[in-house]
Amino acid sequence: MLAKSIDMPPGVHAPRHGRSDPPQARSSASSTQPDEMVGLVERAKSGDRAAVGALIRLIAPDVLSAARRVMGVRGRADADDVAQESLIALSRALPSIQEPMAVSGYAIRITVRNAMRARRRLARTVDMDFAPEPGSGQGEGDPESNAVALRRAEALSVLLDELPSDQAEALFLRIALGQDLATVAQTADAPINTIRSRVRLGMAAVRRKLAKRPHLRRLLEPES
Amino acid sequence: MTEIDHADEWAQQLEGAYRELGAPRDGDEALLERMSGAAEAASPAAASASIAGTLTLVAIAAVVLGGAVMVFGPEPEPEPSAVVSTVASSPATEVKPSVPERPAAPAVAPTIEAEPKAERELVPEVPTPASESATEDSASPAPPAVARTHSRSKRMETAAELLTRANAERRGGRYAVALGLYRRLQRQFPTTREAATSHMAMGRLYLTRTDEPRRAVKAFEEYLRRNPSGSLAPEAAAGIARAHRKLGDSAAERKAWEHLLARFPDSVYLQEATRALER
Repeated sequence: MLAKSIDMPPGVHAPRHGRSDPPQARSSASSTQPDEMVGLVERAKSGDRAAVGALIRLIAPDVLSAARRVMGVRGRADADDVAQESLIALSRALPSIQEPMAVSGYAIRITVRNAMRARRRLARTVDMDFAPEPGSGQGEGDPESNAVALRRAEALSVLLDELPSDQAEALFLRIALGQDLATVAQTADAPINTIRSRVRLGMAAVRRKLAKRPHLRRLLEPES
Repeated sequence: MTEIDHADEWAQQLEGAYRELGAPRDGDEALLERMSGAAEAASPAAASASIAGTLTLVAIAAVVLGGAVMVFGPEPEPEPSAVVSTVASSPATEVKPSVPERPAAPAVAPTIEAEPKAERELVPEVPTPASESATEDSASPAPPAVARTHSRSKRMETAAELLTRANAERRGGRYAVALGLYRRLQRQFPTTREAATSHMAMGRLYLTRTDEPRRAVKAFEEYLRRNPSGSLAPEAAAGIARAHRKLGDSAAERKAWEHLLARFPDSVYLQEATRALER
């Protein structure tokens, strides 16, 4: 019922497992003391509007960052929408969340799923025809190098758009958000072996796709 | 190397790029505040507080009326606070926040700063458990007030809501509807960030969906005029160049790429611009 009323992304349900959940190593939500977080979530769940506001403000920077990472350069204009939708979905789902420490991971998961859906809608407009010359922009930190790195990230994201969503989600969390496998498992609310399997299958699929698309391969595997 | 190792390697290699994508930008503070305000307003807690506030007002009105009647009778007037807590059947701590948060009606066109307040005030249109419970309260004196709040929320659609609705129409492929909503947003809230963003969205629609590059140029130029250093300014500049390319105006395209390189030398469009200029 909740999922219907708040337009929850497919596959995302309010977390019910007792897992602790730091979504990102440097996130503001994860840097909050566990006791503080639990207290805040409990007050928010009980209908304390000030606590709802404080909790959302605590999590919002991570949500916006995750939306921007997954949406990438081409989807930049839509990243704010994705973040907004995700925060609204989170605020409406709060009463049904049972594990306070899972809230920020849950928010990240909603965001990644929403961003993946938005990316797939945009995918047809993505133009990847202007790959840089191999070997260009090798200087550390120079603008061209940054541009190439962003282009590589975009190339990978484009390939992830074509994967089954569970595999894409695991790879976006692992690569775009930089989460380790244990954290991906917590965020995706799945056993770590399942996550390993999703990453393995996803990567194999990406490499098969790369074999057929040399311009993307030049970007992602320049030395091969 | 296993696939897991390969993923680890890419995660390491692309860490900087993804970090850059997700990095905070100028104006994020206001953006996050606006987003958080809208999300807070959409929460069941906010809806409950709104209903509780309405009940409080009704209770206060009842007390005032009761007091007027009591002038003609011998019984002492009850303490308003006691009556409020009894009639509203809600803790005073939940009732209090809703009253000061009601902004006064804006005397001038809403500004960017005014938006979050307006958003907090509105009752979400999507039914939530809390709004369903409001309907269940039909036996109490509250429903007329709640109904008025709902109709007011439709009259006072905020800039953020208009933009969200327009974006949803755009994503749903209803481009004419989306364009109409963007124009309405620009008319009703000309000074807001949302209106500025809508020019960018219109430019992209004209360029990639409706094949109207001349209009796309105008929309992107309007975005740049309003946001010369906006977060989407490089995209707008690149959009102008691409629109000129689509129009077959190579001189204008060239000029646009040169402008982009001069204005945004470290943008991700560096290579596209360089290649276009080498042709």
